[in-house]
Amino acid sequence: MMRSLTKLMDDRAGQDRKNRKTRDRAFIVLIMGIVLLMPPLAGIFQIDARILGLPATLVYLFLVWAGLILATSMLARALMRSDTPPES
Amino acid sequence: MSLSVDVLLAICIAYVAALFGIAFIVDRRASRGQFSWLRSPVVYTLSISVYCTSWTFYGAVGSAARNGLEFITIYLGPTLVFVGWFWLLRKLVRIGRAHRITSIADLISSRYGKSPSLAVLVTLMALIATTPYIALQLQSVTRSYQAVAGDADSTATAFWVAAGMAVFTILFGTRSLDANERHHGVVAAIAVEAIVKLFALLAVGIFVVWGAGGLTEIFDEVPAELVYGGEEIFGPRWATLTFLSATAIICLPRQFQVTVVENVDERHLATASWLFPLYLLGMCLFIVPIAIAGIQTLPDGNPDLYVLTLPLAAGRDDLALLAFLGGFSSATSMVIVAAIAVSTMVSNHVVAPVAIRLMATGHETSGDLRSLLLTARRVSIAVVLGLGFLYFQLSGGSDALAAIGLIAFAGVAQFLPSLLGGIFWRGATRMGALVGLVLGALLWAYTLFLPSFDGGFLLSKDMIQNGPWGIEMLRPRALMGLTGLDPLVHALVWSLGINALAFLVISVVTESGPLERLQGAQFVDIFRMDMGSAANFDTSRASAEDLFILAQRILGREPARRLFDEIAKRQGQATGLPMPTPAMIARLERELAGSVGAASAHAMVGRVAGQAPIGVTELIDIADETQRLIETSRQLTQKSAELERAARQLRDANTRLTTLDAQKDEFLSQVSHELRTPMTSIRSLSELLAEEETDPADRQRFAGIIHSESQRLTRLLDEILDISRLEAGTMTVALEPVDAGQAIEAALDTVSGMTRTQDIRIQRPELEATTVRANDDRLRQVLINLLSNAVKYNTHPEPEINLTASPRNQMLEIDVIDNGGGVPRTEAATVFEKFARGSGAGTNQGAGLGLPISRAIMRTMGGDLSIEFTPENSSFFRVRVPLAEV
Repeated sequence: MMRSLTKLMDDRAGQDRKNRKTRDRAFIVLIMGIVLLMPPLAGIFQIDARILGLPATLVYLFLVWAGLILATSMLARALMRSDTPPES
Repeated sequence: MSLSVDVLLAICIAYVAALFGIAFIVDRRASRGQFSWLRSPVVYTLSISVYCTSWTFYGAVGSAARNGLEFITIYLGPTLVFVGWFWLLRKLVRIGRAHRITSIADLISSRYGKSPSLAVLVTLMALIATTPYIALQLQSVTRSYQAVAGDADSTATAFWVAAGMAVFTILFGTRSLDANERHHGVVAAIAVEAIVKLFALLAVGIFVVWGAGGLTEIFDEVPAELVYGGEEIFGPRWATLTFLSATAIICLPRQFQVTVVENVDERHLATASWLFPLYLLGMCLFIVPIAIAGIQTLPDGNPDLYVLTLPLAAGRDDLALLAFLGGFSSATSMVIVAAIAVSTMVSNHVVAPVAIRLMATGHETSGDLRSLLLTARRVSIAVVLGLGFLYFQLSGGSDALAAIGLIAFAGVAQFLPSLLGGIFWRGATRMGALVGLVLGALLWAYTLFLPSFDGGFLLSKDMIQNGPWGIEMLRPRALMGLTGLDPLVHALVWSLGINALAFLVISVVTESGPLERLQGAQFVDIFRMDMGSAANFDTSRASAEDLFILAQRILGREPARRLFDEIAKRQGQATGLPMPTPAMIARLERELAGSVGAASAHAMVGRVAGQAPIGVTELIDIADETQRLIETSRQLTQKSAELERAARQLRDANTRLTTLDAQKDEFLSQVSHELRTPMTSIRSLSELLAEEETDPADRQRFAGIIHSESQRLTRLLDEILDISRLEAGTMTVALEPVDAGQAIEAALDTVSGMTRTQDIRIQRPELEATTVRANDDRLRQVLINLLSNAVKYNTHPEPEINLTASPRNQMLEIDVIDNGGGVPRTEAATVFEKFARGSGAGTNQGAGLGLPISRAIMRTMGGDLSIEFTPENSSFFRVRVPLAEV
């Protein structure tokens, strides 16, 4: 009984830490998105090169975009849970 | 162009009829409480896709054909906003739901003290930015219609589209006055349209790509320059456009409507955070291939219609029809939502204030405000769409319209400083927002909006070229001589820059009013607030009857009754109207705000409840920043200290329990060990008894041993029972006045049998008649135990026991001192432990429970038993027993 109670409190502290971590990750994803999609970085592939037969910058932009979507989807649930929703 | 006008018209009508049908069925199901998929995050996400208008559907390809990759920025901005949903969108949605915000104008006005002037200003700007945008949609429908069906009368087409949309929006968009009540039919229709437009664009893309032989073949021989669009593509314009589109996804009235106002569950945002960017990615996937294919196969065609003309040129009428429906869907969904959003603003912020003024002069009870406002909303939908149509007519379907998308974005971007400042900065003031918005709007109109008419409206061509009155510094596209910038970047730098600067500076130099500070605190600290704590009315003049009448007039008879019943119940009243407490009035105002906007609701309630709304002292309590921060941090400290304390207690308890647990285990193993020894001898002796050849004398002896061993066992079990009862506190000991001297005498008598055999000298205490409060039997038991120990373990050649008794501190202290050497100091602590035996003890001398039992008995009686040491370092036992009160 007591053991489970202390465990509960440990879990609580662990949860807080995890929430903070999730938020940090989500923020880094946002920063990465801005940096990678804005000049000057967005233009680094602006050369007449092909990746798999496609224009390099086009591939780069879509890959970054897809990466952002993937990262956001992986974090979305944990982010929502890290927040106490208002009682409705 | 082989599709006949009749067929196309029939399909259009059938499609629109299907939309009406969907909206109708869904509305009916929703009114019966069947929501199922309607409240899913996917439908929410799809409704946000009204962002993709026909400007996306047709225009993205056109933009890609003209400017290369630049079109992507329009979708990257929203993507970034949704990736960062946790910081901005979540807050907006939380505020929107808590304060029952009805539109972006309502949000801004509500934040800055429910200011009616701000509401009107934002409404006006939204109307100005939305009207050309609606005209653009009408134009794209007309042009696509013409492209498919040949030259049709453009005016008639645009008119019927506008009329049809007006009817749809009025039918399904104005069911109820409450803007927060989701328009289920509309949302369902828009979700369907979202799927149609995505599907259509993907279908055309796949057709184009695989018609050319595959994705890589499309790009064969195409210079990168054509794909990327210019050397300078990743320059200031790229960043500006991304920023602008990010702003638009928040500030466009229709986006605010679907994202914030119509949100039914905050958690839907989590899904939309990745699903909406994914939708945008899907829309963009084939834009570049379609553009390249268009340039190559239809070099003379209009790039803005490639999506439609490519399938037509390939003779795929079915695909062209799908593309047409996709474009039609994009246009109509935007028009519907924009009309709802803007008409809500117009009716709440323009019509309602006028109605309130009229209410003041007319009868308080006459006139149903509710139907008046609903009518106002319907009329404004017709007016908004009519204005769009008129604009389309006047601009003559010119190409200038195509640029209106970005111009509208820049227009609504003017809301951004007041919006962001409002929800993240307490210091933002109404005056700052007002001045910033006015300056921003004027500069936007001067540098971007008016020049877009190319001399057709207000500014002549000459004025745009050379500045008004030939003043070069005032040239709209090079204001104050700022040249070398893209016109859009130039306009945004001026309008948004001055807007933000004015907002900040004026905010810092002006003071905010009480209500403003209250609202500011509630908006900025929305995640730390509990709603309803705001008491903002002097209640003395409010009567529940008047408030009820007001509520009836806005909410309708039945909803008002329900609301008042609920409030009354919460106040603990069984029947009748609730007390007009400050909390009740705040709640009512919030409910009304959901229907007529915060500013109007405030004015209405203020009119009924009296016009001295705010108690300044209350406000300082609620809204004072420092106060609040101190309070919060104090509570935090307190909480964490509490937690720490609780944790420490838990840890201690845990340690104690663990020790007890171990002790219990040890106790059990000792008990079994103690029981085992006599049991073993009983067993083996009884086996011997059972054998025939054992001689009778031995039998006699064995039976005697078995008898004494079982007696020992019984005693042991009694003792164990005793100690467990004593320790558990379940043994009750009846206390009575006992003569201490007699008790000692009796104990000595019992032990005297032993002393005689061992020849021990006993010195008795000199005790006057002393009465103690104890249980006679139990006290004797303890004394006997101590005395018999003193006898048993005494190895001195001339054993001697010295008994003394003296009262001290309401206790009688009885010392049992012997000359047998006693207990070494090192063992003193353990003698009271169960099953502990002195090192000098023999083997067959009890289980070692005597002392612990004795101590437990003494403690139960309110006394104690302890081991003490004389100055010569020899030990003795001291019994303390409470003196009886005289």
